[in-house]
Parts: sequence; structure tokens; C-alpha cells
Amino acid sequence: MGRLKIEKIMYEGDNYYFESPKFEEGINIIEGENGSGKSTFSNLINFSLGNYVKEFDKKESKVHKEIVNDTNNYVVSIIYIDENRYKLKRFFNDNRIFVEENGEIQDYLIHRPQNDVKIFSDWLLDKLGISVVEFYQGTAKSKLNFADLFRLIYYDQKTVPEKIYKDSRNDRNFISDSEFMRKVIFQMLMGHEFSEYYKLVGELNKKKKEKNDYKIKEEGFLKIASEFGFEDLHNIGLEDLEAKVKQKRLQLQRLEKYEAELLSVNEKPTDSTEKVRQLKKRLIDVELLFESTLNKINRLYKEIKSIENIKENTILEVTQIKKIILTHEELNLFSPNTCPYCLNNVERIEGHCICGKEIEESEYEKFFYSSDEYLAILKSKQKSIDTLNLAIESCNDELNYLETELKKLAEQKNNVQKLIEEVKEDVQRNTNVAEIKDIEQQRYALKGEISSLDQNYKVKQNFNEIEKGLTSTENKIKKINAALKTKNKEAKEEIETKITAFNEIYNNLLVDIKEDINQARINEENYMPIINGGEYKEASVDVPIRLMYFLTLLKMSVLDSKIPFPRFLLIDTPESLGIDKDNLEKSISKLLNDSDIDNDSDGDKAERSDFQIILTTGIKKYPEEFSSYKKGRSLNKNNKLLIKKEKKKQPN
Amino acid sequence: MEIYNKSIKKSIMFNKDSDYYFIAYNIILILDNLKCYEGKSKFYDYRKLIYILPFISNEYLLNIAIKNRKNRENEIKILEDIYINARLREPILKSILFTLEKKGYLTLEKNATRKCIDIQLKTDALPDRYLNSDLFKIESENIAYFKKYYQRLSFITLESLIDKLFKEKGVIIWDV
Repeated sequence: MGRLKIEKIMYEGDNYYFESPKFEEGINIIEGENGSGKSTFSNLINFSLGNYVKEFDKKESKVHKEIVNDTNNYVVSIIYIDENRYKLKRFFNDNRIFVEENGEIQDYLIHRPQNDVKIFSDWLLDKLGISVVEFYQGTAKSKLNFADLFRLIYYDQKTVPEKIYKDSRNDRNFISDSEFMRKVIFQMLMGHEFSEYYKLVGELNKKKKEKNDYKIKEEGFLKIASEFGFEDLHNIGLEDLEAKVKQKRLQLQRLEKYEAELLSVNEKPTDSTEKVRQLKKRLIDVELLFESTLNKINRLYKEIKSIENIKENTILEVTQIKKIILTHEELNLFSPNTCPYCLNNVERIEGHCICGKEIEESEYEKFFYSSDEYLAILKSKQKSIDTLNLAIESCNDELNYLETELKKLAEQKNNVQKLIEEVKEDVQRNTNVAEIKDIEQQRYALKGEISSLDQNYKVKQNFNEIEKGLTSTENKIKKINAALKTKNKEAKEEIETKITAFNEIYNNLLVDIKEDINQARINEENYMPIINGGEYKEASVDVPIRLMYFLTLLKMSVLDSKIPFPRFLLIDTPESLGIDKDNLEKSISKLLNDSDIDNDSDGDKAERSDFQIILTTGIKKYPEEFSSYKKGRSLNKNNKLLIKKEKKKQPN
Repeated sequence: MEIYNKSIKKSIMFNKDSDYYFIAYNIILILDNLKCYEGKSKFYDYRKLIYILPFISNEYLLNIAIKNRKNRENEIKILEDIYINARLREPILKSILFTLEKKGYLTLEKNATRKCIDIQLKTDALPDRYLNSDLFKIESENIAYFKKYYQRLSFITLESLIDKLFKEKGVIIWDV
């Protein structure tokens, strides 16, 4: 995977400037006294890679005054990712980084906005061959940022060494740390399978959200459709609707034809007696329906009334239970340990009745209730009120429906009666008016039905679209879930082998540092170090434990180029933390030996320089043999990192 | 699951009418509203309480009891149920009263002439905030109504109370 190397770092403002020496492959040491700007140097590198630096944040109380108060200031770094050279320029107080690649300049945002824009971190991770995965922790969605991974690349001073991972950005209300996140960071840096796994997880969550959206859409659609009178969209088939429409259309055609016949020639009026008989039969049918609907309505009224009765009683009971609870709390009269004869309190042995017989404690139904039990009863009663309300509501819905039906029936009845009157007149006039009117009415009703069916068809069509989307997302979710399962297994296997390899290197590095360390490994769950099976608690060794952790990560990536860790470490003076000089020197010399081991093992000189470490430390606080790695001037009180610019003289 | 089921079972078995606290608070409210306090007046014959109680706790039943016109068949059935249940709960009432006496909220006293037990609430034994709780407003109103129709409640004998409340309304009484 991608490899990161820093060649140069520069700072420039109106008041100060700094230019680093050229950094080489392998180890680079910047030495300086405390307070001379070593940490500022690390911060500048950190800052130039798009990360948040608290000391450079104007809103913070402890800031780096020279930089924060400087104007028109920016940091430029020249970095290599694999063989490609990039120039990064970041201004202070600006949310952008300018990236120069092959002479072309492109700017990226630093902080992730709401919408999906490629930000600097995305660019950097892309170049490093690490995929930008999305995480859902609870309801919050977040994307992996370079700053997260940098927590295992940048050994800073501020973090308590025990924690291993550099503290994440934590300013006021912005906290991006969690155990979950830390695990992800380790996994992303150590194995490529995990990045694919998390990518799948991100996809899955996206699809799940899509499904949710479809569900909401479906529900809303069903609700609106039912308000317009199209219910049961699930069970109706499009073909059924189509067939129905066809049938109705046919009926309509026939009616229209018949009507035309009636209107054209008036040869012989239809047989009126027969017509009246037909109409009377229709009238009786309608009246029967009317009666039965009326009956239903009456029954519903009764039902509603009785439900309301029950509801009232339940409400009464709820208030009474509240009174019972009050009395229980205020007077505390009865308990399960009251003797039924003398009413004194009895000291009852657990699992025994007052009489002394053994009993099952929970079967000991005493009919005395504790406050909790009374509250539970109260809650269940209140819940049943809700249920009753629901029942009343649904009864009312039915009632409304029946009442509109009744109205329709009444109208029908009225129409039929009118038709009968017409027939009577027809007989006198020898005309066909009744028949024609009847047909007209029927035609009108049919047209109404057809148009409603047409609409129903359209609604159903739209509904089917939603359903289709829903099933297809559901299928996709299924597929992803299956893929996820195998990926998860592969990723787990991969991380297991990685942990074994890590443990071997880590153990080798640490056992040499102090004689009383005899075993070092990491926890398989949270990847935190366990020294001597967890019994080792020597605080002064915390720094090497952390430092070796970082070093192990680096070494693993040097040994196996498939590992995503970018083969780069930034280490900021661990010496000020009160560890003894011996430990520190041993740790630092490990850096050297470590690279030597590589040389020894395969004798390939190129291996040696296949990584970069930038280390800041106190003056001469490193082993003798390291002096060749020292870069640039030594920093001290009079020779600080940032150099004040001479005020330009006014040109004469 | 098992424990859950058992607690469910217990709450299903809850019956407010025979709940000790339900009876206890209603007794206290009746006595308090009739001002049966030590040194003032007595509530003659404790047994009357259990027959008065249902009408105090439920407005619907109260309306049946204070109706001027003749009761309907179903209302007589309801009154019958009240009578029988009250009669069956006499022993519970007794043990609740003993408990209240034991806790020092009231005194029970033998009445030699009437051959019954009389009750008096102890002054200042019950917390004011409890007696004057808003929750009990309805009960106080109910008692006031009830008092209007059945006067001298604390004084009359159990027999005449039962006569008035049940027998005269058509309920068959077990005369023992």
C-alpha cells in the first residue's frame, strides 16, 4: 500500500519563518532544548497534513502565540506518496489545502461539509490506497478521516502513553473518540480485508437507509391512498383491476347502445307492468340493504357505548389505584410480613410462610403489593385505556363508513321511487321516459365506477413501483449481508494472523528494554498491550510500551508491503515524561537496530530506507551512533524554531 | 420469563375492591368527613362502613343509591351485588380496622348498650397533606351527597342502614 514520506516543511508568516532541512529516508532527528519549538515542529507537520492542532486554534486558551498572532501565515510541506511528489500549502484560518501535483494546483476542503464533497483527507487516503469507509455508530454517520489514522502514526507528547492512541480531537463539543473507532483505526492500518469489510458495512447501512425511506414512502402512500378510498393495495392485482375496468366498459357500451335504440324510434313502449315489477323488486332489495345497514349502525352505537363504559370504569380504577399508592406511601399499613392474628410484624425466614412451612417465595401470593407492583398495575390499566380508545376510534371509523353507505342507499331508494312514479306517467302518456332515465342513472353510476377504477389502477401502479424498489433494496441487502458474512470471516482471519505477527515483533522489541519484561502482546479484542499477562504496571515503562507499539506497526508495514500502514512515523520527544534516560535510549536505539535487522535478514540495502521516521528529542538524548541522523541546527532558547523576520527597512 | 409471568399473574389477580389499601383509605375518608374524631363524635358500629364504602368510591353507584324514583331491575341487581360483596368483606374490614388501631390512627371501643364496636379517629394522627390531598376531592363530595340522603349516618344502627340502602329498594336481605 501507499507510502508517505516528508521531504521538507516550511512556515512563513508576516513575522516569522521556518524552513526545515531536507529529510531523508530512514531516521531523521531534530534536537533541541525544551521550549525551543520541537513540539511546534511536529505540530506544523501535523497541521500541514490537514489535521487539527489545538495550539493553533485561536479559540483555545493555550495557544502558540507567535503563530496565532502572526498574519498571512501558511505552512508548506513537500511530501512523497510512493514515487509521486506533492506540495501541500495550508493557510492558517482557512478551511482549505492547496495541493500541487505536476505543476497543477487543486484545492480541497479540510473539514467535511454536510454534502458529499471530496475533502483533503479523502484525497490523501485515496493516494495512500486506503478506502474512505463510512461508519454508523448509533444514528450518527461518520467517515474515516486521515486524522483518525494519524493517531497511530504520530507519537505526540500530550497523550498519556498508557492510552497508546494519540488523543483525538476533543474541543468543547466535538469528540470523535470511541473504542469502536480505535479498533477501526488499528484494523484499517493493519489489514486490507477490513477496509473492504467496512466498505460493505457502509454500503449496507446506505441500503438500509434506502429501505427505510421506501418503507416510510410506502406507509405514507398507503395512508393517503386510503384517505382517497383506495384500500387494500397489497392484495389487489393490476390484472384484476384491468379486467374490472374492461367489464364495466363493456356494460357501459351496451347501455349506451340500448339508450340510443330507446331514443331513436318510439315504436312500442316497453311493457310497463313488467317494468314496475322490476323496479319494485329493486326497491325491496335496496330497502333490505338499508335496513341491515341501519341495524349494523345501531349495534355499533351500542358497542361504542359499552366500550366507553368500560373506559370510564378503567379511568375510575386508575384514579383509585393512584389513591391506593398514595395511602401506601403515606401510611404504610400492610406488608407481606404481617401476622394475620395479632397484626404485628413478623420476621419471616426467606422461603418460609409465616406459619413456618417452606414455600416458594414467588408462589407466596400474599395479596399485598409493593409500590412497584402497584405502579405496574397502574401502568397496565393506563395502557388498557389506550387500547379502549383505539377500539372506540375504529368503531367510529366503521360508523362513518356505514353512515355514508346509508346515505347512498337512501338516495338509491329515492331514485327508484321516482322511477316508479315516472312509469306510471309513461303509461298514461304512452312514453318511455322512465326507462330512459333509469338507463341514464345506470350509465352515470357506471361512469363513476370506471373513473374510480381507473384511478385505482394508477394508484396501484405507483404503489407497485414503490414495492418494486423496496424488494430490490431488500434483495440487495440480503446479498450484501451474505458478502459481509464471508468478508467478516476473512477479515477476522487476516487480523488474527496480523496480531500474531505483531505480537512476535512487539515481544522481541520490548523484552530487551527491561529485564523484568518477559512477555508482551496485544489484546485480541481491543488491540491494547498486555505486558507479562497484564501484571506489569511500571509507569516509567509506559513510554517505551507505546513507542514500541508504533514501531511494531511501522516494522510490520516494512516487512509486508500489502499492509496499509504508510511506513511513516512522527515522534515528538518522549523524554520529558519522566522516564529514565536508559529506557529512552534503549527505545531509540531500537529504531536503529530495527532497521539493521532488516538489512541483516535479506541483505538488501534498499529495505533499510523503505520507511521514514521523523523524531524530535532533547539535545544528545539519543544514542551516540544516531548522531549521523541528526538534521539541521540544534534548537535552544536563543535559537528557536521560528525565526523572527527583520523589519524591512523603508526603501530610500 | 418465569419471574415475569409470576409478576403478571399477581397483577392480574389484583382486585381493587378487596385491596386492603383501597378499603383502608375509604374508611379513613368516611370517618374524616363525618368528623368522627376522639372527643367529638363516634361512628357507631364499624360494620356499617363496608356497606357505605361502595357508594363513596363510585359515583355511578352513588347515583343509584340517592335516586328518588323507583330503581330499575338492573339497578336492583347491582345493589344486590353490592350487598352480598359487602357482607362477605366484613372480616377483611375487621382486620384492616385492627391494623389501623395498631398503627395508632383510630380507636375501637366496645359499646355495651348497643352490643357493637364503635370507632373514633385519633386527632392529628393522620398527616394533613394526606387527608387534604386533591386526589380525595371526589370522595369528599360523594360523602357529602350521601349524607344528605342518609342522615345521621354515624349514629343509625346497621339494620336500619341496610333497610334503607337495600331492603327498601327491593334487595332481598339475609336476615340472620
